[in-house]
Amino acid sequence: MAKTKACRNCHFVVLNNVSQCPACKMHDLSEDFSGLIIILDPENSEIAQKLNVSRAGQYALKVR
Amino acid sequence: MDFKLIILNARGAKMPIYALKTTLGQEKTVVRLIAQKAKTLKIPVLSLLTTDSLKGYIFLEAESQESAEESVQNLRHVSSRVIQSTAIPVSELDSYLIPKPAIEGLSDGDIIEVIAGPFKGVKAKIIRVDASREEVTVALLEGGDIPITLNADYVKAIAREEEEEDIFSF
Ligand SMILES: [Zn+2]
Repeated sequence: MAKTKACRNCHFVVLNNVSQCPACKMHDLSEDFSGLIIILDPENSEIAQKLNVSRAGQYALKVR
Repeated sequence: MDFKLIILNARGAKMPIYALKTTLGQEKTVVRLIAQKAKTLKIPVLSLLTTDSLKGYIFLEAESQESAEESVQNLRHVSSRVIQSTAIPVSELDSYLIPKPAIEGLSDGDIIEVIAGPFKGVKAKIIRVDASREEVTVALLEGGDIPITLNADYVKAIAREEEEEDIFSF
């Protein structure tokens, strides 16, 4: 599995070689995260709505 | 685990969520594989979820049980059998989805250390807690009277006001 890290601000998960979060543009990424949520259909997903996520992608449940 | 099948649909109703058993340690691999498959084959799976607190299971939000079953068909490390009785409403997942807000346990007067962002390592005293925005406004202990507002996730309490008072109470 490719190494990944997560944005401390919006929890978006990116590959390790990325330095800026493509979702919120912050540079605060952490390799220490747990849980994984994959949003495929943000418009219809109730989980996406609960998490206030409008962009499809992978998200960490918890980022340290 | 005793998940109840709840079929909820129509306008304004909740999407069902299904729980599936996976091989231990393969939860993240499985959700990524299902996501790729659902995307490629245009199976209406809306989201997938794994939590570290519930190992050996994944959750899948789909339009129907048929979609859920189709999305895991012939995939390794995931059981397709348990779907049938394992749809659960989103509300029951709340405790998994929403990590305990960092704001809980923070209150006015607490001494905190900033653990992320440009002020990382700086110590400050909380002067206001905004629970709804999950923000705290703090005054830096050294240098500057200007209050700064930070996301509660960015701070860690290192001393409580009552603890400071305790020093003088015995
Ligand atoms: Zn971000």
